[in-house]
Amino acid sequence: MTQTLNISEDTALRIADISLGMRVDRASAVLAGAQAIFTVYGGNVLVTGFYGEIMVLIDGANRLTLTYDADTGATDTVLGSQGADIDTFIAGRMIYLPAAAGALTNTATAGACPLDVAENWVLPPGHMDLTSTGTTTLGKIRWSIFYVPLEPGAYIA
Amino acid sequence: MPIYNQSTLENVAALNQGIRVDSAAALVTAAAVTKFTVSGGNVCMLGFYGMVTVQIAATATTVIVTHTPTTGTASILAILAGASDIQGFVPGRVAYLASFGSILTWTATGYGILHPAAGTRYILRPGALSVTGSAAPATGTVKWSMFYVPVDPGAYVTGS
Repeated sequence: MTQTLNISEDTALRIADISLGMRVDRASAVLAGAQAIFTVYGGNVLVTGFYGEIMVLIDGANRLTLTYDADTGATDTVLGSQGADIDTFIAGRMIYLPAAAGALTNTATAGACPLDVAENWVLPPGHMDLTSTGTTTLGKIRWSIFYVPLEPGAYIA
Repeated sequence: MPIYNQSTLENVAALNQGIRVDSAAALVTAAAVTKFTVSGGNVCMLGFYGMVTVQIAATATTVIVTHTPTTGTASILAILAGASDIQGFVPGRVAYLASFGSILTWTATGYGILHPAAGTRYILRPGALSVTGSAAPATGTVKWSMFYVPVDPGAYVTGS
């Protein structure tokens, strides 16, 4: 192994926190209509990265839309939506947000995926919802979001 | 002006740019050669570059970079179409990933660009990041470096 530093796992994760923002994971789960996947509490946060990873082959017709429902305000914000059905997408294909309010984009392959959202978004307290046009029996996706608080006490769960 | 010891400098660099992993200088070959291996979970690649360390022989050669996950289909990080012929390239010329899935870009002189593209960091799943030449120049070596942070606990990258 050629590696400059011998870094413990914990140290490596803290370096990741500093570099990417704090990571929050939403466990791998089947698609089942509308689901809140992340919730912002306590104040505004800045989203620095976001992606999903198919963990089990998608076994049903589905098209995903990601919206943000702020605690105050009547209208949800569409963060991204898929233009095509993801049925039969294999494990390892990933989903990302290259542009604000743009397409929720699928990688064509299973190896690599951009992490950044085009702009770093400010999210007020509320919840991020994932809506699928169908459901899956076995097919699962996990999601990760990276953020930093903009106000004291703000966090994502 | 403060004077820092080597370990402090390297730790500051790790905090600033991610953890550096190197792949030893080697000949470019016509087969895929693994330069970095991702293990234990997903990582985020913050930077990537290669540098010619011994002048490349006069053999027409282009280079692509591929990430092949342990399970699933490979991603071409740098496509072949439009790639530079590196024959005769002198030591110090640097290759970098201009953007996701575009051509591997070589600088004309001894400088480089570390980050794949403005604001673009790659999630890499466990697997192998390899470099493949279209030919195998008899002489001429390139060394590669990757900068990363783990995404999943326990994920790491090794160089070869």
